[in-house]
Amino acid sequence: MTTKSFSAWRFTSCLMALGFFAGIAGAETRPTLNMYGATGLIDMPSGEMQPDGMLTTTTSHFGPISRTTLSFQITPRLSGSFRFLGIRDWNKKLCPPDCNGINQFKTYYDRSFDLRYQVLREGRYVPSVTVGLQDFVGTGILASEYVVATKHLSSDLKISAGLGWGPRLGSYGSIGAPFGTRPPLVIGSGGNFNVGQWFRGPAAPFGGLEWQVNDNWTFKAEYSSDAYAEEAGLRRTFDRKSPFNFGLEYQRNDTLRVGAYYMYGSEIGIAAHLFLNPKKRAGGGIVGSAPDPVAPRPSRSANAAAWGTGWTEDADAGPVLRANLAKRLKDDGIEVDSITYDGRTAQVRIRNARLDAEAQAIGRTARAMTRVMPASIEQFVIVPMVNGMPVSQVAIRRSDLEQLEFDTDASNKLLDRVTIVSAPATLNDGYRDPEVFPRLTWSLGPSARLRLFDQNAPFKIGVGLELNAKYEVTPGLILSGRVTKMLASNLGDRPPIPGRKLQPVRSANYFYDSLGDPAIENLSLSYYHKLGPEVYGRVSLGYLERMFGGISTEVLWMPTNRRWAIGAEVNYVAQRAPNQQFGFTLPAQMYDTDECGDAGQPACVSPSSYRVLTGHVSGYYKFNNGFHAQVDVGRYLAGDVGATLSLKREFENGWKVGAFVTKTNVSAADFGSGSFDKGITVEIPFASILGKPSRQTRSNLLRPFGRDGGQKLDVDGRLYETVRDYRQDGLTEQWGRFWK
Amino acid sequence: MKTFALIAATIAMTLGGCGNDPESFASARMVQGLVKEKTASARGAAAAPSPKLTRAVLSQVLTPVMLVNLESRAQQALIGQVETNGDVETWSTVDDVSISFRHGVVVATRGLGPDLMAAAGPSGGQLLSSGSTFTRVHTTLNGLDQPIKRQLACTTSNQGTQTIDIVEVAFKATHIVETCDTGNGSIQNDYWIDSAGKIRKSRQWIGQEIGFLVIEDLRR
Repeated sequence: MTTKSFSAWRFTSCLMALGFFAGIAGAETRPTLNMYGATGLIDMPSGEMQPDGMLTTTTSHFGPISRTTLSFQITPRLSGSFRFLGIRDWNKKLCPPDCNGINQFKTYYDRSFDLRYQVLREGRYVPSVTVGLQDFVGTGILASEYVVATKHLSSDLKISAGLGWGPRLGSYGSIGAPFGTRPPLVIGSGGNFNVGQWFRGPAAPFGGLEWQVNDNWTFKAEYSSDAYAEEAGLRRTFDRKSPFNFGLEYQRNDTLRVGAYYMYGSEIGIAAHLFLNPKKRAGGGIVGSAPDPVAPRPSRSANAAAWGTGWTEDADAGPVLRANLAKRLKDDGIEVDSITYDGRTAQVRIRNARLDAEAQAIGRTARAMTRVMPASIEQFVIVPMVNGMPVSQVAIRRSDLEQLEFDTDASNKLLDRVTIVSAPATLNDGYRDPEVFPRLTWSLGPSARLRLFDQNAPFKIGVGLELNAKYEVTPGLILSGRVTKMLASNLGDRPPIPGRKLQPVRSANYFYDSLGDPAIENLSLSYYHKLGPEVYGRVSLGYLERMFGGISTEVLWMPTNRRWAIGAEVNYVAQRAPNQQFGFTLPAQMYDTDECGDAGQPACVSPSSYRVLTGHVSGYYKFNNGFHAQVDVGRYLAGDVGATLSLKREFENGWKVGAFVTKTNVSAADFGSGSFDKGITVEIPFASILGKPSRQTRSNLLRPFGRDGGQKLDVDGRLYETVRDYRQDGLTEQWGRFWK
Repeated sequence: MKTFALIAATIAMTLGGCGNDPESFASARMVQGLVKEKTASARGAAAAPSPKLTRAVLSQVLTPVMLVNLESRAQQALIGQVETNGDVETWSTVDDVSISFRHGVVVATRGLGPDLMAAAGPSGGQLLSSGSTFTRVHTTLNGLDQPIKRQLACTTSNQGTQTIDIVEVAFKATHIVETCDTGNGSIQNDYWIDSAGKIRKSRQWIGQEIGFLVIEDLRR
């Protein structure tokens, strides 16, 4: 075996040398993905990376093995993956007789995380080199570490060669253990970082070729160092006859790539890859109607009368100006709450309901003002309002608008000349349209609920209708509610429910899914108030979320023109009945698990009500490289005490991709599978996908294990995310849209 | 079967949605929009070409208009002037797509999606003197809404006098070709300028995604 591998190495280095002599370099081909959803060949990784920020989803299937992976290019050199794995026929050869423990599963499901770091970028002579950790936290069924290099031999041909360790990449054709023996894996409840094992034990070489035949077609061939000892050896779920894999892939467009493979001398494989680049928009730009062009004022000498300030004496001026402005901005989803003015300055308060770029709402308002305001008004002050709170005020000189409208540097030049400061807590109301409050908005539309990774299936889904209503009594006082009714659902299929030590603040979700139909998702009264120029407050009362009701209070200090903010939240809540009506009485049934409650099992501990004081102190910091950190320290829903760290990469256009971990004083054993709470968040702005203005976003939260430790109240309208878009940094990150 | 029913229900749901909140269910409306757009373009391909514009039809249009043809989308529309700011005129279609011109050279578009945010093009003098070289500047927004300023090296050449036909009226015009290096291949703008120095017709490159606009001045 060693000889064979050695010759493979010789072959590789020889090919590389050829490449050097030919003097051909440069990455002209696409970096493609492998069946693990990592940048690579077929079953093996490569030394390449995806373009910065790329978000990919891969689903691959061969023989009994299915993998679905979400990968993110975190920085140009660092990428990470989260994967859901299923292996069919898992216990076919072993159960009976042995149907215990891991052998109880017909299909074995597992989740895994990877991280890869590119140490070297490809140059004229040097290959790209990447170090990878596969399934580095958790049960480690896919665990491996590797170093792999990739080099272009010509503009359309590249070669990869690597060395792998661990039960996967170090399991076939090993050349010995350069860094000593691998200590045994300590699984415990999973979720441990298996640091002691990394790069230990037998190492095995792997490698392959990738030929991009043309823009659409790619041929791949590889030598795999994965023996599939568990699947092919012990469990004989498929027959591994050969280490060689071959594949043909088709790139349909920038978004979709599909592949077909001949795997391990016996199986056919297929894969589909979805590429989403947050930095690019479908169609290239947001399509919306043209703005009002700037209306320049007549010169003072030509028309002195137009520049007079006599109009301020007219009692009707306020209502007329507000109405005229409102009419012009209506189609942009901008509402004009109120207006104040003197002869030289006009201040308007607006609400932006549609435009994803806050700067565009300011820009449209400013241009509409040039068409509405009398010539004597030179200073425009625009105050965006959120939930009745003025956040910032943007002061713009009208003559700058007139002068810069068609300047090729309009965006930067204007930004240098405007001033954005925190709006004072109390504003002179000026003229306010009496029709604006109170007002009711409602909508009836589709609704979907997902339940992920419940051990029986990768996901379950219910689809139906939801009724949303929002009644704004006065600015900042909002009554809102949402009711859902499922029409088709398989959420009623009972998954395995492992035993637990904590109050089931989240892990009784199956009962909430199956009993709460129709469900009052929330019904609460919230009051928002700006307490000082940089301090915001919120009180929410009622059925705050589907599992808890009570009172939630919050204060946020968000200094102007700073990168940080500090907030505190205190909630006193009771757990709602799983039927999600008005009650707080918890039925014994919702405490059932696989270990208690059923016939022949002990009764579960089942208090009929649960109340908890929960809250956090939170710190927020926006780094200048697009990363955002949040730390919450406090008491969680199960009464546990600890901290959460969330790290996100935020794109200017609203895409956010992040991960979080929570560690509390609940031991790994009491927590259950996964040891501690962690997960991934992906927030996608609709505007970016659909190319039309919308403030709606789709937030996706992936938790590999949904347990009860480290869980926070899911109250709507937390202050930081509500107001931060209108702070100076939020307003200016898409400043280019001011002129759109 | 159950899966199928779920998928069918999901699709059906996606197409629904009502209420007085304009911002909820944007997704549902977007999907509807996409479906309509697709079917509309499929129909458009089969439909007969739009009725020919004639001077008789134009005589009913009271305001001065120009005819714009967006080649890449095979769309055409009349535009009328809505504003003048300094030496820039802004013209707009009735459905709010606007094009701004400085002496007949397009310097901005709005409402087309990947719009030309601003541009600095040749002056009238530079266009008319054959062989003049100058730098064009095009400002667009990237996917993250950051302004991108691109410089194009351009030269003009005089192709001589031609007779062009603009909706049943023949004009004698000098054909000027402006060739620009975009750094990613070259593009060519055409201008037909009458003896009064007025651009009667032009074909101008707006950007990678939008491509060319053909603008014909229908004023007599």
